[in-house]
Amino acid sequence: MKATKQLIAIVALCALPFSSFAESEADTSASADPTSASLQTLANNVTPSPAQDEQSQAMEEAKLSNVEDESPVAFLQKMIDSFATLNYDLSYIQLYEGLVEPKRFSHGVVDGKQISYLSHLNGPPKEYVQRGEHISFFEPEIEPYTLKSGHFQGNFFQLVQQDISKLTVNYDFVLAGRGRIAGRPAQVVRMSPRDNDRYGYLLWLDRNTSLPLRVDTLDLEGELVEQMMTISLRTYKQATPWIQELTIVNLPPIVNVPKPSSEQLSPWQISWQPKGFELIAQDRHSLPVIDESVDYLMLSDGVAIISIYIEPAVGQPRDLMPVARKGATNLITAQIKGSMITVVGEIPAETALKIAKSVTYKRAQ
Amino acid sequence: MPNNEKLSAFIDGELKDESLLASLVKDEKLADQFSRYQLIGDVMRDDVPAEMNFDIASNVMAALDDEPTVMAPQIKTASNKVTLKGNVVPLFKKVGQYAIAASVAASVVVGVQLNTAQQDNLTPAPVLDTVPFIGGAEPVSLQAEQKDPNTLTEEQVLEQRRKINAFLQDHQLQQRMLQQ
Repeated sequence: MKATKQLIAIVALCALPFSSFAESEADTSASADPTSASLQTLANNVTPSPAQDEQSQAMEEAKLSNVEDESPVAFLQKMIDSFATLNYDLSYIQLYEGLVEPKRFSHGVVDGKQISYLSHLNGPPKEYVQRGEHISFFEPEIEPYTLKSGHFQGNFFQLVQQDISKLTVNYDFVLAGRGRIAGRPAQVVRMSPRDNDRYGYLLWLDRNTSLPLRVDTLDLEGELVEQMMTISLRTYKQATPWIQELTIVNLPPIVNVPKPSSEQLSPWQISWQPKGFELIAQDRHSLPVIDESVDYLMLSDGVAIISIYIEPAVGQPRDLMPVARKGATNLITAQIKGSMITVVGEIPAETALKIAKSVTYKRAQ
Repeated sequence: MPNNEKLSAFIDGELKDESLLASLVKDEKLADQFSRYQLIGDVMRDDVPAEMNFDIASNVMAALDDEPTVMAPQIKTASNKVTLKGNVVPLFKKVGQYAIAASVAASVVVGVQLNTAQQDNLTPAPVLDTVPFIGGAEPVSLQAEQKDPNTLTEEQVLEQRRKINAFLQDHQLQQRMLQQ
């Protein structure tokens, strides 16, 4: 699923006229200078040269006039394409019910390859570098490593890299008015789930570039569960020096992730799952840090990811089982017929519990 | 030092040099330069040091031409360095069991318990009462009786938190490793 999406994005990149790089060569010094980078956001504070200003204004107006004709799906597709093909710095916060995590995401395309950099700005430093298909992880207390075909985790990255054709089955896409985020006019798109088993999303997309400015994750009552909010967005004609630096910097060694063979089918099956969720992974592995062995299943509907962990129950069954939540991610543990089943995912807690209860052991093994 | 000809070798994991990014990260002054370059506020105030050079890539390339090719990988001699077998690097070292648990725990809201006995008929669950577990806050027990088997000792609570953190961390890890 993801590999073909990335391929499509990269093929689209190759089709991009490289003249867009050529025409900016005359402007190299100016584009390296951040003050000329994103005229719209800097207009109030920096005086651009008059010629540039007229030009950019005309460009903006031309783009905005086409907005009314777009369908919500077309808008989202533009968001996905822009996210993968433009050069930009996105500073944003992620809100989890009172907990605020500021982050910075820088992205560029160099020689047809996507390069990106994600940094957690508060607390212990966590940094991530994407270079084409590889992603490197730099986290405290952990030896840095690279994954060959890695992904950024979380709701937000799932949404901006989604395969829309898979989602139209489970969500209704509706245009939902306009707004203004980070000083930019935005078009709002709503993704309404067709059932009560998953979250809904409200996306504010920059009307100029279609990049995501704000994403609200909403529960069944329309209450905010998690939020991504842009503080500043700057776009550039070509990759910034920082992105260019990342194309040559040393990255940590690649970790080989063992691919489960087709014979290693899980002895577990799920008799109920929300509509449109598919089983996309199954294996047996050890949990990090505590090093306990678990049977594992992963479900996805294209946006939300659900992890199911099964292990033998220990001790007396208790009526009260713990529930944990961080923003849109719910964790629920249930003890059923001698097994301890834990479900973690970006889905409502009620859905997680329904899934936990539907895990059964396959007879023929 | 990085070298374009060795780039594919790095990606294939054949060389194990010290990560430049890691040293960039550890070098606060250098990392700071890049952060400040990207902060709108500083640029607005024209608060950019005169000596900051944006043309870093070409500087690095120029430096490379003069550098001899380093063939011997630099091996860390730190006592907690795990030996590598082939290209496999263990994803996690067990570093201070509670250290990682504590850093994740601060961001997790642990609910005080869903009564699974009430859920058999699949009616919508009651609104979960959540008690924030931030730092060292103790959970508020909903049970009036002290000797209820459903209440947990302090040790059990800590154990439960560690386990929850491990699941959350694994959930993130699995998403990163998704093979398609």
